[in-house]
Amino acid sequence: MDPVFRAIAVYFFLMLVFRILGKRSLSQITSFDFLLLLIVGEATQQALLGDDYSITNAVLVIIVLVGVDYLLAMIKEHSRRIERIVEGAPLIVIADGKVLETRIKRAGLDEDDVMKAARLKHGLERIEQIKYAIQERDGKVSIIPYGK
Amino acid sequence: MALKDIEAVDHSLELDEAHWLHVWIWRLQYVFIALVIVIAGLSIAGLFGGGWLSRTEASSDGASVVYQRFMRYGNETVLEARLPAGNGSITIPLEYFGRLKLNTVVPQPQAQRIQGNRVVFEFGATGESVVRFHLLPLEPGASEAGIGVGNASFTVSQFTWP
Repeated sequence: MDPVFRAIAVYFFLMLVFRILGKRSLSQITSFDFLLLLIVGEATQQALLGDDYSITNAVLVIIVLVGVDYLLAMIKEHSRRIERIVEGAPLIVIADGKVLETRIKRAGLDEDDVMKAARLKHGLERIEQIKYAIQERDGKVSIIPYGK
Repeated sequence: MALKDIEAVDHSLELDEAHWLHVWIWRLQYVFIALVIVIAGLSIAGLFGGGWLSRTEASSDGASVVYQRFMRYGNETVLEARLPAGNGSITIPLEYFGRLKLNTVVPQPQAQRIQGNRVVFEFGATGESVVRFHLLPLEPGASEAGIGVGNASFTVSQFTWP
């Protein structure tokens, strides 16, 4: 029973932490963030397996993790509210060429992040050329320029 | 952070921003940061073992015990007993070793026997001596044990974090 509870606890703990930490962490990983993720992975491995390095334990943990993930995906399919809570919702950070200060700050973004997306995707030069900039559920920034 | 703090946008996009959810998450971020600070502080203080909050000392009749009130599952801990001069025996309930595995005793006892439901460690000390029991917590949760050091008796209450 122990590996089952361990896997479930670690799954939901990690989900909670990364959900609360914001979407930026998922979309714009710096080299230090990557290093941090590796350390988190190492600590998670210890918590998941404990001192039991048997194949049975590893198989159990994998089955439980995949099972919980699949179950959650099924629940999300049936409940839009739960899907929103788990996956998040998009947020407009620039509207009609104006930066929405509270939104962009709370989203963990700044104008440079938005302009980077605008340059990469549409070759835009200035914020005023952006009709809407949206932080999507996966943390990426979508740009809708004027004239579209 | 409240719902009214989010700038209103009259947009033409087919998009549900779910403002309530963003506000909820942003509030949780504050709680999370506060929790991180509190947990880090308590951890330094010893809530998870090792600090002043965890280290407990009790003494009576020239004998004493020093132990960690908080332990972590699978992380070795030390129970230190100071024997008074002239009485070199320490008694520990058998049940205690069901919850904590005895790794080593330093110094090694001269004799060791089971008396009823207790293990008696005899050191034959002529002078005052310190004995260290290196223990490994085997199961999470609270535990309590009556430990005899010389003529004195101590109740050792401990909690093992998972």
